[in-house]
Amino acid sequence: MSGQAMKGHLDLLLLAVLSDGAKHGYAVIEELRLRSDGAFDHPEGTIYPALHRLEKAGYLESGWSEVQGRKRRTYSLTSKGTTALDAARVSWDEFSIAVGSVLRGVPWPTTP
Amino acid sequence: MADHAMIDAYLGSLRREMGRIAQAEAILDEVTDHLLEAVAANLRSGLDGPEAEARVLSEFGDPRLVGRALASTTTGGIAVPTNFTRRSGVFLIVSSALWLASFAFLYASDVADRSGPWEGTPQNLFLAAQSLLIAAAATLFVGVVGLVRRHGGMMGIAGRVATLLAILLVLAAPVAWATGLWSTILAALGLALLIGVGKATLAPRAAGTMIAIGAVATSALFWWFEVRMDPGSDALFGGWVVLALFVAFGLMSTGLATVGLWLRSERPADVPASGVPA
Repeated sequence: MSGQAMKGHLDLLLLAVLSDGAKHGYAVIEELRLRSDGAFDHPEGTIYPALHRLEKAGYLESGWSEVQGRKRRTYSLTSKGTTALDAARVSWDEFSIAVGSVLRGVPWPTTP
Repeated sequence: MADHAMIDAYLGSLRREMGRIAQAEAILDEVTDHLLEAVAANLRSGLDGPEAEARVLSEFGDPRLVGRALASTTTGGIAVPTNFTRRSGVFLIVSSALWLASFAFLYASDVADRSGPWEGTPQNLFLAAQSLLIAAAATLFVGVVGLVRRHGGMMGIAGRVATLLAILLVLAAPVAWATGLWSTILAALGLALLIGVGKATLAPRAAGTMIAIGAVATSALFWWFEVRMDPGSDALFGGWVVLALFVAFGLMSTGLATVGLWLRSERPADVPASGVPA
């Protein structure tokens, strides 16, 4: 997937990365880069507005701690975020199967 | 941070770009943590101090863009379909029918006014047209709010101004009708929507452009007809203008309905796959 395509799904990618447990911004970005095999190549600073929007909308919550004398903000999924991620995964699977069927020229899966 | 001069300068730029937002200090703390952790990782990988800082700042992004994005977050939301955005699609579909119907009733009142001595009929039809227009404006307002929610913010200054203008104009539409500013208001609404669609990608581009062009064309036709109309004549419509107006209204309505169907087609992110609201 291209970096531009990933940007369009950034909110859901962030929810997915945080579904494994609470992380701070730097760790979220590292995980995004690792899981996307380097495809995520956007300015790292653009992740924070997205994290803040998700928190404001109730999909994430954050807390502060002190690490090596610095203030660190850590994000985790709320139950609303978990629900949204589950729904998005189902939706993505359907979309992926449909597009894959068209691109590969194979018939749409039919229920027996 | 005396030993991180480049990062200090970057944070200073970021602070200036964010302006006076309430969360500025918290955001700067968070960004500082990120930058210093990234610098430490680069130092471990063998870069020297200035190289490590330069790479980290390059990867974090232009402070002007990042700062503005961080500041605009305070008015933003999540850019995913929700139950509300899906329902707002219904309002847009209803609105599309109401706009078309309001014009049809307006035309009917004009025809009735010219074609016979029907006591009260033209006035009743005109009243119905006005009522439909108010309903069309109200439903469009809900639809535009749904589009803004679906977009999630981050619209840029032009997008935000255009969206705000579009909402204000929708609210002003019934007043504009009564005060004779109808064509001017409708043109401004169309242009605002055009800018909003273009700059903020509020709606699918083709459908949004149809709405905007339809609104501007409707306005231009009304204006042209008012300029050409006999001062002593009560007739509002005539000739090819009627057909052109129906086409323009139809274009706007089709665009609204298309955007409404798009909103309806998306699975809400706040409803689990089982269909039970979160």
